[in-house]
Amino acid sequence: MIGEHFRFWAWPEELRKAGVLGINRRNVDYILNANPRGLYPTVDDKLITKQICQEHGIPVPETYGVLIQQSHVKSFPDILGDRQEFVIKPANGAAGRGIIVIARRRGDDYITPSRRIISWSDLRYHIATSLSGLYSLGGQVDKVIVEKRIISHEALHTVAVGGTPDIRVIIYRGVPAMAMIRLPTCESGGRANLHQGAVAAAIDLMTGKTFGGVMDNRVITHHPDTEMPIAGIEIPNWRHLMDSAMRLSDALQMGYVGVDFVIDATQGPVVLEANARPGLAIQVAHGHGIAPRLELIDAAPPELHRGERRWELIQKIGELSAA
Amino acid sequence: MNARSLSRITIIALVALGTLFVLLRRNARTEYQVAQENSFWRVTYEIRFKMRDSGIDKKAELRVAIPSPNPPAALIDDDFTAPQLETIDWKGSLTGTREYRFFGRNSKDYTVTAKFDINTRADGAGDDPLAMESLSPDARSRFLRQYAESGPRVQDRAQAIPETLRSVEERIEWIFEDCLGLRATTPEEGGTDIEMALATGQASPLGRVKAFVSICRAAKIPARLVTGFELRRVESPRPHVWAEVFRNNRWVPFDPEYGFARQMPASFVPVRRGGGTVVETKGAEVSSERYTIERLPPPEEVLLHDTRQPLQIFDLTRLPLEMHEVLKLVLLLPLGALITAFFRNVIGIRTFGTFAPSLLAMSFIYAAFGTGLVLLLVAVLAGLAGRTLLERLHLLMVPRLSFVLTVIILCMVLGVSLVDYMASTPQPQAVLLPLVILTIIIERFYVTSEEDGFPFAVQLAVGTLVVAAFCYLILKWNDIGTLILTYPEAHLFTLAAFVFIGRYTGYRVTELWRFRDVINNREKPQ
Repeated sequence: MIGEHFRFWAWPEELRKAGVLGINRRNVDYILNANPRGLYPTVDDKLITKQICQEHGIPVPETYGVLIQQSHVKSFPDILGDRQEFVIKPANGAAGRGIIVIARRRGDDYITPSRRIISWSDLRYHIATSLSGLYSLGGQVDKVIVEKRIISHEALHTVAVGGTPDIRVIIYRGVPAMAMIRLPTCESGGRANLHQGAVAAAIDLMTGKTFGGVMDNRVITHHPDTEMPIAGIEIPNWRHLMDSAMRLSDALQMGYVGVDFVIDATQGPVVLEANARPGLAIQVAHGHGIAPRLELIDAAPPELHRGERRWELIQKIGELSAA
Repeated sequence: MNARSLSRITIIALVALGTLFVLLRRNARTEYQVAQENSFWRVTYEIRFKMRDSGIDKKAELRVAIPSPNPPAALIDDDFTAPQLETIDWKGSLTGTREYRFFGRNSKDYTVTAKFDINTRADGAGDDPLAMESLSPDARSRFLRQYAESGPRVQDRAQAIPETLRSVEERIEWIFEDCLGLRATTPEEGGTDIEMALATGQASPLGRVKAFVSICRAAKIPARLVTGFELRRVESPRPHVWAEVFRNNRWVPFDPEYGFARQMPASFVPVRRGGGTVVETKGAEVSSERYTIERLPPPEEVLLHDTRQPLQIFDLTRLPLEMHEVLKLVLLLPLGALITAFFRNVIGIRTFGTFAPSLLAMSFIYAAFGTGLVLLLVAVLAGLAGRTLLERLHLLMVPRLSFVLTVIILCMVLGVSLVDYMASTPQPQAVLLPLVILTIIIERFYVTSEEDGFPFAVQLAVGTLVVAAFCYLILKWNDIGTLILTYPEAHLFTLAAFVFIGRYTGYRVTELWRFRDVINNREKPQ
């Protein structure tokens, strides 16, 4: 890859030709235009997103309980019952902040998948600070969701280390425009966040097969920890996932939204959360920009933005990048 | 109308409004400034005279020279009353002196009153006070011609000019010094005899200036006398005489009596050039001449300038001086925000918080740079240490933040005391680091390094400091502060800039780096 063509920067003209969408243009032309401010809570609050999903029959991880006030922290063991594994997440946490995954319990100790031991007092403190808004956008008082731990589908085991891979679909005006899978690494501490060092691979929208790859905004081909190729993986239940994504975007009424899935070993694709400001690194994973796809969707007749006919548009989007 | 065109219209409207307001206020300010610098005087001549009986066709005449101030002073009005007299307005071709010439035939008493209004700084004009003019051969010989009373002593003085002085300017200077060296006498005692003055070494005012002109002429430098008035309140003003020397196409004034050289104060108004008195006669006899000089009141706009009127609200400079520093700093804050917006949205440098960089910069202005830096370091280190210890205590957010705030405040105050103990007393404002902002930065630094890794937290901290440094440079710029205090409406431009940056959809500079692999990949041979 490092050859005579390698450079440490790209000219704006080159990026424009490659269809790369910059943050400013994403904010001004897409997010501010397509996402009404009043609807933000539906995606910022994972609890509301979850309710919307349930109303529309879109699978989500089973909720064990919701903690709303500091006094609820006492009742946490009751909510848990004798469940061994679960996830704690602040309802308004951004970028995976404040999420704790517990794989096992031993007495008063809680053990994460990476075998870190969290004492009950540490966990209680974590819940209390989450409730007081440490991880929420803007620092407002928050809610804490206790939900089922997703066991990742075995098809993805070779390329995920220490955590659960998740799949991001960016949907513009109801039509999926780009998708990627984010794979946890040792560097990311098991989290599937790109800016924390996770790996991403692009997904072909028609077939659900991965290609390309990016880590820290650099192109890669193999998982840094398992050294398995990250291209050519077939996402299980891809059509079902895309279907859920489109139905959720219809329900949310957001014009430009990223929907995050995890593939549960038994339940299949479940929605984790939606994001009104999806990131742009997905373009590096694809090796080309998202702008031409968004423009194609804008140019398409409105009947292609709804229902099953969207697949015709998705097909065209696929052909766009092949060309 | 969509957001894009609306934004464009907003930008244009803001810039147009800003330009309009700044220009209007600037004009008003300069007008007032000029009005304040203006100083109005009235010179009045009152001359009684008698025409001598001089036969049928011979007219007797009285020549009254009109003041001709050098720019920026100007004659703004002139008027005379001369009952039963014929009058013409006359201008001398060699000297440029203007005169009223009054003619009468009858041998009886006449009274002429003339009044001249002079503004010593008309319109604040920055004109060259000495106009360029050419010296005709006639004029040249006229102003080199020696006075009848000049004799060998004048020639001696002219010959005494040392040969080593090469430039005309040096020679004029030598002559000027020479004449300044004469001892002063009262007008009566010394007389105006140049030879006598040079012989005795003491001269009356007129004798001194005539000696100067005479020696200049003997040294082949054209020179002339100027009779005029000094505008000031005085019981019975008398004309004052100084000299002008021609060089480099200009008549340059020298006043051997008062010592002014090459430039006369604006209050000296020339009346007649080339020798002679203010009033000259031909066949007439002046029985009394009386001059008065009085000041005229300034125009209304100066006197009523500080009356209460709503427009003054826009003039922040009228507020007490103690407020200026604070107002300047507050008014500069939007510029800090502009810099931050530019760095975040156009360059793409990320910072903690939106206003933290400008507020940090502002506190540095207050605390003086060195003290501020030391205190910032102390506060951040203490805060981070406190925060790390707190992590083990499992406190709720508000008490935790308050704990850190208290630690920071304690360290800050003790730090100030320490600086005072070690060296000099710091400014009292040194304590004014934005403590709350600092507390929140420390909390966010801690959380960010926990959540997104220490390197990312450091990256944000460095970004904050870099942007704060640029804000500091702007806020430190006193001229900009004064300018914005004088014209606060200039912030309409700042608003326009915010709208512009707010609608900027181009790539951020850091994105050219971030997305480079999209291009590198494309160029890779398949």
